[in-house]
Amino acid sequence: MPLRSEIEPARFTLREVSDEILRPVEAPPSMRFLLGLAFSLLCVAIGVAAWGRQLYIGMGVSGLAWPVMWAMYITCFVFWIGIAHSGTLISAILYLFRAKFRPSFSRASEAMTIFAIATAGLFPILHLGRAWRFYWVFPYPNERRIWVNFRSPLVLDIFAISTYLTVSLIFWYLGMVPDFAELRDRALGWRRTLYGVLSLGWVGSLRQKAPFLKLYILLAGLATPLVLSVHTMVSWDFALSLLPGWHEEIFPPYFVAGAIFSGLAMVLTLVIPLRHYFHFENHITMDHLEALAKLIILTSSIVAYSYASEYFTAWYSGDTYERTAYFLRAFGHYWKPFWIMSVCNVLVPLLFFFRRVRRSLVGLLVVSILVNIGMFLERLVIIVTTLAYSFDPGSWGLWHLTWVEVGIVIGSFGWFMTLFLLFVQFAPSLPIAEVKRDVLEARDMVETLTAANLLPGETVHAG
Amino acid sequence: MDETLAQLRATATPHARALLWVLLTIGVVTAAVLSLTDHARLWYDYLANFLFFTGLAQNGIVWSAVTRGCNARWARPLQRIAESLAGALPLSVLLFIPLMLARRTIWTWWSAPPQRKLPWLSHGFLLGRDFAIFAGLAALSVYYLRVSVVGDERAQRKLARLWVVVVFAYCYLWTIIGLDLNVALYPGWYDYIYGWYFFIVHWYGGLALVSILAILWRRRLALAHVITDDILHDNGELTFAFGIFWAYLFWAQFMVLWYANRQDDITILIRLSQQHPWVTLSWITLALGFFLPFGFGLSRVWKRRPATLAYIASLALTGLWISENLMVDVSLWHRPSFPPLITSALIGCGFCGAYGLCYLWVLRRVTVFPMRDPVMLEALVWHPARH
Amino acid sequence: MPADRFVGVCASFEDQKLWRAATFAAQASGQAIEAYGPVADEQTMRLLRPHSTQNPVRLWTLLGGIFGGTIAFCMTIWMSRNWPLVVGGKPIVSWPPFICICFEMTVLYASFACMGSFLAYARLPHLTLPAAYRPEFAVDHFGLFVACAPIEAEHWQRQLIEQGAQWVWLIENQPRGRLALPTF
Repeated sequence: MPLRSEIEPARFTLREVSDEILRPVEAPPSMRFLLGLAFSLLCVAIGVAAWGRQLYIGMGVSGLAWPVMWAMYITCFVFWIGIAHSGTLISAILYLFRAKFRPSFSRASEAMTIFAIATAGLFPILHLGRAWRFYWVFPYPNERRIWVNFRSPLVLDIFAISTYLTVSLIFWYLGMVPDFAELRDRALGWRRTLYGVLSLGWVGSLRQKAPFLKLYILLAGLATPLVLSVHTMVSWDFALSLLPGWHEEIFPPYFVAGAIFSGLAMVLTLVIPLRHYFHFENHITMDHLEALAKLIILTSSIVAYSYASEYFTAWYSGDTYERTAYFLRAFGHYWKPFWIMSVCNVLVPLLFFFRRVRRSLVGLLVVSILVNIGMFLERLVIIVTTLAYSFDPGSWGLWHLTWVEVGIVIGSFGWFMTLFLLFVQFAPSLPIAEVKRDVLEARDMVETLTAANLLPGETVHAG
Repeated sequence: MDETLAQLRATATPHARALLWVLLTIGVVTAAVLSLTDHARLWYDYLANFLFFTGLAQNGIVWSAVTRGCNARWARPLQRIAESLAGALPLSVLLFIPLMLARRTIWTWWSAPPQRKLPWLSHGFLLGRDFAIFAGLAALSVYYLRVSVVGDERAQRKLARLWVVVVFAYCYLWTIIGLDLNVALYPGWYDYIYGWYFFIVHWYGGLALVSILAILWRRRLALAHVITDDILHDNGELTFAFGIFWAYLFWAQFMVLWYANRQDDITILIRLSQQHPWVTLSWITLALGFFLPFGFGLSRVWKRRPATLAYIASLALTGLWISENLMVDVSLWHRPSFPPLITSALIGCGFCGAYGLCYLWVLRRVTVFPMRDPVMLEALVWHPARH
Repeated sequence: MPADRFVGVCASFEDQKLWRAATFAAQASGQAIEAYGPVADEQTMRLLRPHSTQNPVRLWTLLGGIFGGTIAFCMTIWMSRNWPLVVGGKPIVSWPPFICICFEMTVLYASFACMGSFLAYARLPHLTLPAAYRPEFAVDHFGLFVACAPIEAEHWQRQLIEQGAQWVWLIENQPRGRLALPTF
């Protein structure tokens, strides 16, 4: 018996699909939207003010002090890059796997990827005392006659993230061209001009579609290894060092799995309100949300496995420094974030083994928020505890959170939300062409299975 | 057509069965000769081949569990062909016993275990735990196979839960096997990711093996209309993807060790990458396990043609077999000469023959296609659009 | 409509299967056609254009990737030798990190080449819309444009209606440079 979500689209008409998905874009901004935008801009303003203070007075106003020279900003950097990964997983990897639930999330998650990378990219700049010199990380000919150090994982990061941003932008934008064409045909005035330009003159002819399909699958194939490589290089910022708690071979796949884990949770956090406010219940069904929940269980299991592997191998190694680093991580000064992280990342997602929780909007939303909190704290715990408690006890020192850092973190969330809100107002949040393709395919499937007596009339069931 | 498929049993040709008996005989004779001439060589080869073939057999069930969990409709026609590999697992439990008896040869530190790693490497705990793991996984796999063969509605509901247990059990328990039977061979070595790497190696090999078995049975039973080119392509793509992932896990370890250059953990890497004969074997492993399958696997056409897909899968399996030998020998083989892979290949013939005969024995007693599974019936009539 | 501006007929289908059948029939008859629709119909494309313009996109992507990888190695090796800073005891030309940069630039340039070749083969951006295009082709109808001579127009109109078209228009050439949709 096929899943209900596979055959239910058969009952929609293509025009209904267009009307439902484009309604939020064509309608004027609602009061709720304007209030949300105002709030996110306020958060951005807080972030700008905090950063301004830091630029004016110096890096000392952040909590950074020897030996903990990386703390909240790098945590945010890794967190936002991690959020970006699930967008590419959903849009590229699930496309290659022909996952049926992909269209419900692909557009919103691709947008999330772009905006998350844009947010993450602020933090290496924020982290610099002389932020105006951030461009020195790029290899350009300069009067100092020096080049960047290509052996540094930080420079590997630059290449990885700029490639990731560029490829994701291309993938996201070109995927939206057919939808912009439909908006162009329906719009009037300045919107018609705007969408006309964005649609590049797309008319959906075979001459255009043939190379488009090839482009799409090639970009999906190119974006897929980026999901592994980008966060691998971010993890190497830590793993290529010598510090106990950082120098671990497991960091690359562990970070990638954690990134996808937090990104999927963020997709849920964004898509559930989107579905509610824009009435996308027909196209983002409970089956689709449940599929995401199952992916969250999978990635949570990988993260839990990684934790177990870390702890066991640190003990098995017999190395005093490794064992101490892990002991202090759990029972040192930062024990609270450690245990919150463990509960949120390992225990809370286990709730998704219960079908009732997987199919409850409140359950999905609460778990997704807790997972994001847990993953944020995970990065903080990894970074700060290792730096605070490195080899020599004489060099141990603690980091404490300051208001400047809190302000900048709030600003980063505000920045992300501003971009996302603008996106949902001006671009379709679901890929119209792909949803329509699913409608036509569902009709074919119903016809074929009914002819083969495999689909009795009213016995559709949920997944 | 449904009735024909529902009754279909897979029987190998007499030549194939005879070949497996010959391979088994070769393995037994080689073992007998080595036990008299080079005792250590016997147990190194036995260990490497035991892990390799048992891993492949285990991954037949894991493949079925994973594809079921992902609702992969395309994979249903191959389900029984893959699951029947579990028939070799009870034999693997028995074949672990000689390794327990040869513990002093394999774990050279047996008489003086490293104190810092006790109690994990204490004698009773080590042997008992590994035996329990092999026995437990075998029991779980056989149970899964039995439920799958029953295949009615109740069985489908059971399988909907059981697949999770199988996958979790495989990942965690096979990690422990990798630590005990690869990492622990060299007492100074530890590696945070080796467990993960170990179970992915065998998962990758399992995918390649399922491709080969699908091609062989498709030809033997004239099932090209059921095991279509699309299905071969899908499994071929999964194999391709996990080949990349395997290489990625290798690279993840390499970069960390190369950069840190720490005395504690660089020893194995220096052996593998700079010392003769290990560097040659390392390059051969990478070429056969990754570069060649990757290069050939880029072609969509090659993944759809049975002959070329079988070729790619065979390259991958050969590379993984060499890597299995490498990971045992690099810790244990301290002679200056090249480790004689030829004796390992002959011992491997024995394992291939024994496990192959078990596989055929099971497959002869079950239907080839799970026709009571509604998803199987859907897979026969519904072919969704492909990219 | 002036005969010298007549280019062909365009039919609008509501049913995808009828549209597909009509498209194959028109192609089989040797006419130049163009087909429109709201979804990317891989099945139609694969059968209509077995050796189509899609293949060069793959080739250009490969070439772009090779180019990107090559310049990545050239860049890293040359720049490292030009400013030979010994860091962490690693060799000046260290191939492990250079492979990572090579990988990233391979993907980046492959993506650029993929996008560029797509735009070239799809002839995008295009400032004007084809005369045969109708907005409903982006929503819920499938279009088939058949290029023919004025004397064949009636035959094609009749044939397309018989094959299930809801509407058939006569299409004339449109002046270039206008972004607006054609009116008639």
